[in-house]
Amino acid sequence: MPFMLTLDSSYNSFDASLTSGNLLTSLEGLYTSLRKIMGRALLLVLATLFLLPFAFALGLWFKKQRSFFLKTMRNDNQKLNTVEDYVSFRENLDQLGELKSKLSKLKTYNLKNAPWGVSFLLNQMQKTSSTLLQYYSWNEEKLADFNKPRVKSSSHFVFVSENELWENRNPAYSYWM
Amino acid sequence: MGKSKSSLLLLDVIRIMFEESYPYRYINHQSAPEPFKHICHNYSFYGKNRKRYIVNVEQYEHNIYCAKFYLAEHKFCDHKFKRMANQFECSRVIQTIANIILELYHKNPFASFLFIGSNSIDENKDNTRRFKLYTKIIKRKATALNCEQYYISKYSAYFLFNRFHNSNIDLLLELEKRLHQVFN
Repeated sequence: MPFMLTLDSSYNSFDASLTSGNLLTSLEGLYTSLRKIMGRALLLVLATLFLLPFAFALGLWFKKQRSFFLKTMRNDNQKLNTVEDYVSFRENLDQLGELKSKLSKLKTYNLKNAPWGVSFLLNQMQKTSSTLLQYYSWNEEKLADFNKPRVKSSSHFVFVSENELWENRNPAYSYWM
Repeated sequence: MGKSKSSLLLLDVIRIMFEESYPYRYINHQSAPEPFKHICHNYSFYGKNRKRYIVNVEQYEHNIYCAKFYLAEHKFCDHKFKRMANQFECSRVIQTIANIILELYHKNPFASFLFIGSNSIDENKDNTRRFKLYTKIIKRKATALNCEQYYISKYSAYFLFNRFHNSNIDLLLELEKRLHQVFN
């Protein structure tokens, strides 16, 4: 999987967002589990001794990744010209959509309650998750035109939305058009 | 993620079952003034039992195409579109019709396609079995990328409306009116 900082032509915003999204949700799970297992004081000691350098480095990594991703995200203009473009775009969007609820959960953490030392990492995680959620909503917006009729009509024809078609698809079949 | 060998094999089997088609041949085209002025593009192909099928793709104004097909042996029958072929090769026949339609679409990127599911002899004209089948297939095989999709159960019609049409009139309403004239 290409990471966000990979500066070659194979950089794919969707892959990068999925990598970060998966990492974020794993870290969020780890953090929640540690909070459950250990008391706040023990977590603080552990964080100071072992996790602090790691957490700080990881926080920095997230910061750099986010700034690079923000630049590419703004210039990311994936065109949906062919069926192949559409299918890969939709599959990627679905994968990112699966992480959406977990990423949204990160936003609810109150940083004031976070143990000292981890708050920098958590702050970066929160920012990265909100960037990814924004990226998801931007991409979702690209499909908005397909989900409403292009012209208003007073006929009795029933419109079939893109969402309905995608949900009805059979992955075993290839598309005609 | 790589797909396992067995799942790939299964997908291949499904593709062979549902995506195989018959080679078709363009016969000719002719103009027809009735009931609405159109050009009829005629094609034919042979099924697995060497039964010949005739496909008429009618091209109406505003680049609307409507495909009809029947078994050649029913050609002189009044209900040729209503009769069942009973050749048990539905998926391949539909795939062949789809290939013809796709060829026309590539020739004319502004084309919209209308499908009408004819009623069988013992059936009403609304929400027919053929219409249900076509709807199911088109919903699965056509994306919303190039064509908007509409249906009207009353006339058993499914319409792939090209996104790049530039007509100023309410084409859907116009189409509904014409369907009403044909059906009544």
